[in-house]
Amino acid sequence: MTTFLQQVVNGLSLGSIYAVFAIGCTLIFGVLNIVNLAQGAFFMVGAYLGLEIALLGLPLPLALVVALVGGGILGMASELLVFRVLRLRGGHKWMGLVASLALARLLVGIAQEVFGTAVHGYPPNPFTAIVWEIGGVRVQLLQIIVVITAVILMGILGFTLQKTSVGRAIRTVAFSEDVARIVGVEVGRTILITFFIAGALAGAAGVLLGLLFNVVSPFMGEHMLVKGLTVMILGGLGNIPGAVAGGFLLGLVEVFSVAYVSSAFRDAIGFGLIFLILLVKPTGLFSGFEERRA
Amino acid sequence: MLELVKVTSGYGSVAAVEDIDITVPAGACVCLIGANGAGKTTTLLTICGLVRAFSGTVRIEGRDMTARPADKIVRAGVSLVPEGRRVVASMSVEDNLKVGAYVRGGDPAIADDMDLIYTRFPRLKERRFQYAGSLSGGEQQMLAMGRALMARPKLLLLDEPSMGLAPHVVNDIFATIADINAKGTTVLLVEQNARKALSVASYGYVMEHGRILFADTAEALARDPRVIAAYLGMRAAEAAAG
Repeated sequence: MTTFLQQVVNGLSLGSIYAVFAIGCTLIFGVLNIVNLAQGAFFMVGAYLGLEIALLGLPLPLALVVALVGGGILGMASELLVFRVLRLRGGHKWMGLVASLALARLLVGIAQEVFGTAVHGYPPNPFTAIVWEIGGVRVQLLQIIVVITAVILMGILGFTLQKTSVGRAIRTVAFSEDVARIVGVEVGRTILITFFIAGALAGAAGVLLGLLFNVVSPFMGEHMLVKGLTVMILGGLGNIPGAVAGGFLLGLVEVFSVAYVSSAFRDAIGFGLIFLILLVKPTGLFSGFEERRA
Repeated sequence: MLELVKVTSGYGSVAAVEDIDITVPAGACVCLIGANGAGKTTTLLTICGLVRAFSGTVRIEGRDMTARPADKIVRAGVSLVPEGRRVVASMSVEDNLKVGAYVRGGDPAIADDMDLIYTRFPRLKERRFQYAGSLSGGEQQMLAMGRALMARPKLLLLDEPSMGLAPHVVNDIFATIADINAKGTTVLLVEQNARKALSVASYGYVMEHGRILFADTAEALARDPRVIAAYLGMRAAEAAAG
C-alpha cells in the first residue's frame, strides 16, 4: 500500500508536467491541424533558460517566467520562420513536420555547442530539501510545487481559452479560419498567439521537469516530444481536457511500471498500454466528449 | 453604402463572377437572385475579402476596400451571415455571440446588444449555455444572424438564409430580416428562394453564369416574365407560352 501511494505521488507530479507539455502540442494541432516537432526543443531550451537563471542565484519563479517567455518567443519564431512560410507557399502539411524537425535539431545543436553534452543539474534549492513522510510515503515540497504550478498554468490557459476575447478567437480559428475572418478575427495574429502559448507551456514544462529530476541535457526534449505526442493522441487530437487526463495517466502508468515491473520496461508498458486503449477507443480517451461538442 | 464596379473574381485563375456592377444605397434592402452556381456567394465573399477580386473596385461608404483583409471589412461595418450558417459548433451560443462582437474589443455596450439579440431571439436566450452545434437549423440561422449583428454592422450580407429550413421558420427569418432593415441596417440578401427575397427587398439583381443579367425594383422583377419563368417556380415553357 505504501509503495502504491508513493507511486501515486510520483506519478501525479510527473504526469502534471506531461500534461502541461502535451497541452501545447494539442493546442497547435487543434488550431492548425499540424504537429510542431520543435515543441520538444522549446522544452529543452526552457529547462536551460531556467537553469541559467537559477545558477545566477535568482529566484526560481523568475526562472519559470523566463522559460515561459523564452519558449513562447521560440514558438512564435517557429510559426513565422517555418509554418507561416509553408502555408503562404502552399506547402504540404507534412513539410511542416520536416521543417520543424530541422528547427528542433538546430536548437539541440546550438545547446550542445553552448552547454556541452554533459548533464546539468539545478543548484540546491529549499524545495528539494523539505520532505514530508506521511505513513511511509515520501512527499517532497518540490513535487507539490510542481503539481501546483502545473495546475495553475493549466488554469490560466483554461481561463484564457474560455473567458477571454483572445481565447474565443483561438477557438473560432480552430473551428474554421474563414468563420474567424468573417467575424473580424485577425487570423495570422491569433495563430501567432497560439504558437506563443504552446511554446511557453513547453518552456515551463522544461523548468518543472529539470527541477523535479534535477537533470538538464540537450537531448531531454526528444524523449519529451515522443511523450507529448503520445499523450496528445491518447487524449484525442486537439482535445485539451483529454491532454490533461492523458498526461496524468501516462505519468502514473510509467511510475507504476517502474515500481512493479522494471524500469527497463517502463516505455514498453507505457506505450503498450496506450496502444491497447487506442485499440478500444481509436479517437482517444475523450472522444465522446468531443462528439457532444460537435 | 456599397458599390461594386466591374468586379471580376473567382478561385485560382477561374473567374466565378465577371464584370459585375452592384449598388446598395444606405438603408436599402437589395437582393441578388439566381440559380445555384450563378456566382451569388462568390460576390458576397468578394465583398468580405474572403475571395480576392481579380479586377474592379469594391467601395464601402465611398472608400475603396478592394482586396482588403477580411477583418478590415468587418471593422468598416460589413458583416456576413454565411451560407450554411457556420456557427462555431463547439462553442456555446453565448460565446458565439461574444465572438461576433470581437471587433468591438471591450465596448461596454456589448452586454446591452447581447440583451437585444436575446430579446429578438428568445430561443437563443433559453439555449445560451448550450453548444451551438446542438441547435436546430432555424436556431442556428438566428444565431448566425445574431453573431453578425453583434458587430453592429452598417451593412448586413445574408447568404441563403432560408436554406434547409421549414417554411414557417423561413417566414420568421424573413420577418426578422425586414425588421433589421427597418431599424436602419442596410441589407444585401442572396437567395435561391426568389419569391421570399423579392418580398423583403426593394431592389433586385438577377445573376446567371457569373454575370448580372438585369436589375430592377423588386416589384418589377416579381412581375418580369423572365424572372417568373426561371426563378418563381413556373416552368419556362408555360411562361413562354403565356
